[in-house]
Amino acid sequence: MSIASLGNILKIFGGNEPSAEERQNLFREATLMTVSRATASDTNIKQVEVETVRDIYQRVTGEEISSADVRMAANSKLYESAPLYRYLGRVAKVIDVHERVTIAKALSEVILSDDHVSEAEVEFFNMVADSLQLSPAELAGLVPRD
Amino acid sequence: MPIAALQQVLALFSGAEPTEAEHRELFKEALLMTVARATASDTNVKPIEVEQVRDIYTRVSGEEISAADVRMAAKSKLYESAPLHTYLGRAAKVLSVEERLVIANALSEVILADDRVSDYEVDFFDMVAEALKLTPAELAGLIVTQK
Repeated sequence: MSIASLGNILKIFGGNEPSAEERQNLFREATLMTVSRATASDTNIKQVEVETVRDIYQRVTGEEISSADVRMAANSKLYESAPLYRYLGRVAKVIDVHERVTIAKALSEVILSDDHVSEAEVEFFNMVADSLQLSPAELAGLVPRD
Repeated sequence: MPIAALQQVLALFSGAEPTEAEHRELFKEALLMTVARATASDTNVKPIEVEQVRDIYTRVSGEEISAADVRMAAKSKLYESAPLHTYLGRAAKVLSVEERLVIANALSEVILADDRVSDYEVDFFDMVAEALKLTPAELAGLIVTQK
């Protein structure tokens, strides 16, 4: 995914039903915007977190991303014009519960990657889970199935 | 824990700081009341769920419990006089976040024991998590390690 296209995918839809490809791109964009931002949710961006973001992003999306792109996404000015919680709130209406849970789990992996959890990181996670409209049961992996 | 003693522990405290032993009894009681009730959160109590409750209760509390006691706790009339969410809300003020998480994790194990998840079970889990005042981060295992 090109960093330059971040934040543009939601604009594409304009209220229309997204195609499968657009939906997949939106999921990838939301994953990158969330997990990369986590590296900046406390005071300094640790290299171990950047590497975890790269690993997780590749595992979840099947695409590679450079450390430089992760750092750029983490510090992007995009967040100033469209706060992440508002962006994720719109995304949550398009992607399914499994994709929303995947993003939340990826985020928790990044936060735990340096073996420390700060108050800022906890607040960030709670904001993301709330924006993605995830229920306690969904966060615990309990999704109705027969 | 004898079934007859269920819901007696919270009554002991009545505002006073519980002793370590009372705290431990409350944790075990809340655990049993929650996971046993999960077996009855859908229409029928399945033997595999009862066995899962027995296994989890023994693993977490170090005490054994019979299948008959689990079934009795699951169907106890206790819940009519004091709804579980009210009871757990009071217990949450005493239990640590780690203990509350153990209860929630034990509940999800019981629900997943039969490889099916019903809408009723999901609603039950959401009610328990809310009553125990567990945040999304806590449910994801994110507990602050540094201030």
